[in-house]
Amino acid sequence: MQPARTQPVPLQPPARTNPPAPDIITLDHVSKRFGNTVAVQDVSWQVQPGEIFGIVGPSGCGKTTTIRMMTGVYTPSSGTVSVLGRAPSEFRPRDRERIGYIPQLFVLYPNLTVAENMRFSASMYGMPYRGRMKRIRELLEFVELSDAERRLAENLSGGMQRRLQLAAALIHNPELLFADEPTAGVDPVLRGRFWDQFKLLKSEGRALVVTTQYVSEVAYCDRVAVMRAGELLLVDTPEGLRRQALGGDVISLRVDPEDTMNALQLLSRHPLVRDVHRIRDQAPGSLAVYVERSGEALAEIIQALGTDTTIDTRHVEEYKPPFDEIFITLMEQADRERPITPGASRND
Amino acid sequence: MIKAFVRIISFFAKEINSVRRQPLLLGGLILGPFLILSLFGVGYTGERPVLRTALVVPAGRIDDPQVQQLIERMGATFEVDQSRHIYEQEEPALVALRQGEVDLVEVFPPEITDVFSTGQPIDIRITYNQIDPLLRDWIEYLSYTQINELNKGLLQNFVGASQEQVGSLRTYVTQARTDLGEIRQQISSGNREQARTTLQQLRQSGGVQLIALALAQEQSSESNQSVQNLSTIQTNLEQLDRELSADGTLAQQETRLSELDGQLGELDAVADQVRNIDPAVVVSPLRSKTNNLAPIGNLGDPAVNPAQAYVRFYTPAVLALLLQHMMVTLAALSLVRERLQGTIEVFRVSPLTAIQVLIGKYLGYTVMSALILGVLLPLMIFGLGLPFPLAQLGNFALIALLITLASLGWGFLISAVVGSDSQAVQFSMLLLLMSVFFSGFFIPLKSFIAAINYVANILPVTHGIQSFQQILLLNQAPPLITYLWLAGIALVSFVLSWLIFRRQFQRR
Repeated sequence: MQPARTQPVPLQPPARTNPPAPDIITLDHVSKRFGNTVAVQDVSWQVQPGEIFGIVGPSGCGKTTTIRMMTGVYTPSSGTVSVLGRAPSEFRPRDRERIGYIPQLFVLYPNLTVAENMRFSASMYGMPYRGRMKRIRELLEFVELSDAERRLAENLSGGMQRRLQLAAALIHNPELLFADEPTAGVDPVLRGRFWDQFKLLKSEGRALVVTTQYVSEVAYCDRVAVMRAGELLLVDTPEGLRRQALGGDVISLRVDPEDTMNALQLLSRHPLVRDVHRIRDQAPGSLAVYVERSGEALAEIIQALGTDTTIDTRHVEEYKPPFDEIFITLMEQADRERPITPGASRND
Repeated sequence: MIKAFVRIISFFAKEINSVRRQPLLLGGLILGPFLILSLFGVGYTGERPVLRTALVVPAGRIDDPQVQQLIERMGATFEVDQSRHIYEQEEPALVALRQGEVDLVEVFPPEITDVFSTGQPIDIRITYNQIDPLLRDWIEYLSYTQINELNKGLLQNFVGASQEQVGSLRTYVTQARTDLGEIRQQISSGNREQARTTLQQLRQSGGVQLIALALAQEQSSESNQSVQNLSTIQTNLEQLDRELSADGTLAQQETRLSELDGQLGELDAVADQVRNIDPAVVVSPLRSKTNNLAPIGNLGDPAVNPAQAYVRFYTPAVLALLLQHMMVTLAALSLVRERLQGTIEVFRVSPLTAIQVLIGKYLGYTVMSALILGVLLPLMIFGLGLPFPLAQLGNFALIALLITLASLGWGFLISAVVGSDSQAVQFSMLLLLMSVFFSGFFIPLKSFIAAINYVANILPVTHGIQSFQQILLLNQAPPLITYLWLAGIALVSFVLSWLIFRRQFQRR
């Protein structure tokens, strides 16, 4: 049973030692090769301060490798990476103190308590002993682990361990947080709570780069990079992704099944309609109408259907397909345009 | 600078917390060696093995006094169960040997009851069935000492019998002196022919020759003088005979008689001396008296209480070996676990440096080593009677610190090159095995060729054993070279493990 969901406690804004650059992260034609294997190929994007930047893609598409290049664990084989205005390979300790990192796996110490793990992380970042406990208490409250302070990390549930990892990554009040699949293996309720916390961190002015396998989570991001086989397919807002996948907006309508042909003919001639077809797996008379902008097209389509007395319109609404569907569509489009060569990339 | 210190302390606290959460590990580290040494003290009966022996005696001779005496003397080296393992045939004794009921078979030949009859040495065959070279050496050595003991017994018997003969020969000496007195009387009364007759009888009796022969058999050094006496007596007797036949002067004859009497008197005194010497002294006139200058009074006498002496002697070595093994194992597992667990990835993103990680771990394990020694040492002092001269406290602490650092260096070096937990444990065990063989723990380093000393010197425990023994058992400060060796191992291993770990730590 999940604990009662509570509102995360706001944290203090990150201390800015230097004013951040306009783009807190810039990747410019970045590639990473391991021997002959290309893990990441020609990736470019920018991340702005106070932004949640998501990276999605199937397993092995290069998300973790890209995160590692941004955190300085890997150096790119070609291209340039700039984080906080500096190449990660040239980070000084004070640059690293501005970065928080949640790796893909739980890497804290199982035989230490929650509080001891927090203290270890605090010391790792050189935090002074004075005031440290207050910060730890705040963070444990933030991730709702106050009651588990004295429990050994090995006795925490998977979700609690991930929250502990988040708290540990925030101990030094970083202005930029990298989270590599922080919600992997976490139940949907807890995932939602994680994103609430991320949104709160964003509201405090922090930038977050979050990778995820759960495509539905892109809805929480400000912008999303979609990767496939080491390559970047596109970077856009969640809404922009939807539009790119569907080629515009979709209006769903249902007419009397006997009027279906009339409705198809009428709508296909309408100037705002790009395409229209039956939706076969729904009730008879269900149609999908593709338009450039649903906001302006919806009223006109309703009007057009209303003026035709031969068509009995029963239901009209803007259709927002789930991101899973959008993601599959995008992958299928990419497969058609650029089929994956087997063995061309490595899992990272 | 303060931040670097805080980062180092993070590992110190983490390692301490990790270990204190493992009471079984801590208990094993502290109580394990104490219990092992206590068990050794309770169970150890002495270094010389007890060799169970089956004895094959010629048929019908078991009750022979000579055989019984030999069996009794065998008990000094071998253990003979006379109710079960005395045989008349060799085969059943060999069966008992093969079945492990006895450790060796000793065969008395038929001549055992009359060893001097053949005039040749008699073989006593000893058969054993052993692969352990140490035990094989023991059997060979104890067989040699046993045969020496048996030979000594036989010789003592023979000397005793000869002394009896010397007793009877003294009668001849007395008779000869009486004859000389009679000759003197016959000469002084002018009865020269009768004197010559008495002289002939004396010369032909052979008594003097028998005395000299017996003396020659008794003792070579003494017999030389006896043989000289004999030769002089014979010369004087011949001379007297010639003087009697050639009408020598009375004074000459009197002088000759006095010389002869004196010489026989000396011979009688020597014979008396020989007869009264203890046969054991005749057989073994020399014995060893050893004197150990080492101040080992507080170690206990191995002849009286071997367990106590051995436990106290080995405890410093166990302490050094334990300290090395504990530190090597903890350090060997340390870095490899960080790598396998993935924490190194977090370290790489953080401001931590490789040297901060290493120093932090060194600090944690060093404090842990001090805590463990702080508990273990009093247990050994008060529980096992290990001497601890307080004057050497500083030297002991410094050596313990250097052993700890040198061992941690070895451990981190292992940890930096291995790829898994099991490899780390495997290499730690190999180092332990190497330490047991090449540190002087059991086998003295003098038993190896000089090249092995190079191997021994790179092991912290080699210097640890020597210096702990000097400090604790002899109340002496170790020589400077010991400190230099340990500090050298610590420094070189630290630099090497740091270089390797830094390479692994670097962002790729």
